[in-house]
Amino acid sequence: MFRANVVFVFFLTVVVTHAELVTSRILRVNDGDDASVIIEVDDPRTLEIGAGVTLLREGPPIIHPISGAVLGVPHEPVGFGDVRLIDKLGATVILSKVFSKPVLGDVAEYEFMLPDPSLVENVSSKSMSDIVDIVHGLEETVKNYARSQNTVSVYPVFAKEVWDEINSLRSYLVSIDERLIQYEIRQQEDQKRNLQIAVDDLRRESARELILRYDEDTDVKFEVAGNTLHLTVQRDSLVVSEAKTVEPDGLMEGLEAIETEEIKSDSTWFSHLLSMLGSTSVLAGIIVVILIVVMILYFIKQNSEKYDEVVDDFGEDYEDLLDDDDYTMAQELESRDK
Amino acid sequence: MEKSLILRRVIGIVGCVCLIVASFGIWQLISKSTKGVDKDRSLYKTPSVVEDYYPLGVGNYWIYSIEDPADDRSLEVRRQIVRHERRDQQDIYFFEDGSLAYRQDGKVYEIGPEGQVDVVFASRSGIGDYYAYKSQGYHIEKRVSAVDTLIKAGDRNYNNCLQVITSFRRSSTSKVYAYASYYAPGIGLVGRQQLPNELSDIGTVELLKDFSLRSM
Repeated sequence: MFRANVVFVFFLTVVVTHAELVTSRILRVNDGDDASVIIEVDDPRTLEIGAGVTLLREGPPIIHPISGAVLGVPHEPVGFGDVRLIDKLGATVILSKVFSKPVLGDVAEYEFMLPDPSLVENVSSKSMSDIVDIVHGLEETVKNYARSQNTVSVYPVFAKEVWDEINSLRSYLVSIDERLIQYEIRQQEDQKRNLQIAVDDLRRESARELILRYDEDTDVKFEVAGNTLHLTVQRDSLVVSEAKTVEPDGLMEGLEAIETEEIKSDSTWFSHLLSMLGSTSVLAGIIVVILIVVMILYFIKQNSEKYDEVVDDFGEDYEDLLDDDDYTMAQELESRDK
Repeated sequence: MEKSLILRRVIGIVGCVCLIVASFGIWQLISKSTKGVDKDRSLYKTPSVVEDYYPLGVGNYWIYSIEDPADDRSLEVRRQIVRHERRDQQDIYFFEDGSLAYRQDGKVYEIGPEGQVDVVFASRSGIGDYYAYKSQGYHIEKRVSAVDTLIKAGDRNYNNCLQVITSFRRSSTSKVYAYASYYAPGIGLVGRQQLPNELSDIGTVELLKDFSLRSM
């Protein structure tokens, strides 16, 4: 219903129409030349050479599914063109754009302009009546002016002078009154300003403030001025909120994701267990690293003992080597050479 | 010697156990973080294109807010499908305001109580798709001018909206009026705006305020 309302509101805005469209049919499609057709013209005076013509083809009607009434007819565009020749047979249209091959019976629409004589007559008569009214008004104004001039000329000169003096006095009094009002307003403003300055100074000297954060975006302000406690609740002027974006097709996925999140939040024992296991595992990993280091140190220690044993064995062999005479002689020869 | 061997074996076994437990814990942590990322991606991923720009189903309703800038008036209109009938192998859906709609050849034909016909491109359409018809003395043309329009209606954003320009005129005149309609996939009409003409620069604006689709 609202669609109909909107559409009809648009339709009702059509106030004045300057051009009209005439609908006719294609009488003949010129053989061998699809870009030229002859359309039916009832009144040749309504069509001019060069007028634009639109060709349309009617499709299967739109039928009401219950009542069976024909509600509309689809129009498939066939082509556009302009009128080149008008004769008794009709108007020859040369098509400048063709969407499909025109056939007999296709609809042709063309536009024509016709001035409305009654409208022109009404406009001229209305303008003439307006001019007559204006002339009558001017005539009355001139008569009134002449009448007032006559009245002024009969006034005595003295009365005119008194009248002028009274007018000057009146204007002087009015100016004095305006200046007094301005002074009064200025004085009130000065008083207010001085009072505000005094109050501010007094408050600054004696006031003590305590501000408590009551909520995420709310402060409670305690202000002590003399024997007076001012309690003020102040909200943060800047509130940050996340922009919400809804994807049309992601609605269900979003809802599913939220439900999944809720289900997961319900199963807290499992998530706690997993998190504890995870953290314990990390701790265990650290312990493992420490154990590995200990094991490495232990193996190093074991290896060092083995090394000592090997070195001891080697020392015994070395002593045997020192006892060897050939080795002693060789050392002596080396010392002599040096 | 035997004691040290036993001690080494015990330390090795404990270390292996600890390594297994630590690996399991690290795997749990990684899988948790990966799940979170997937969840976020599923929330914000590009929606798949639903090729129905006018879902018809009993119980579906749409609430529109119509504002006229010239009059500063605001009107709220609710449209709900209340009934469904099947006649001649055709599904007909009845609205509570007396209008009805049926689907044919990828379009939805909506017929008002007084016989006004509105044709909606309900299936996936391309830019330039055109449909013209004559009804009740008016010549009406519909043309798809965009398929990826983002419309913000209320506090929601609707992506990939179909923009359809409807122009109409009296069959006997050439003065054309037009308005733009926006259809969101899987939702239906989300906005409509009268295009400027000689009489007014700003026209009536109609936006989807709330909706409910049973098929969702």
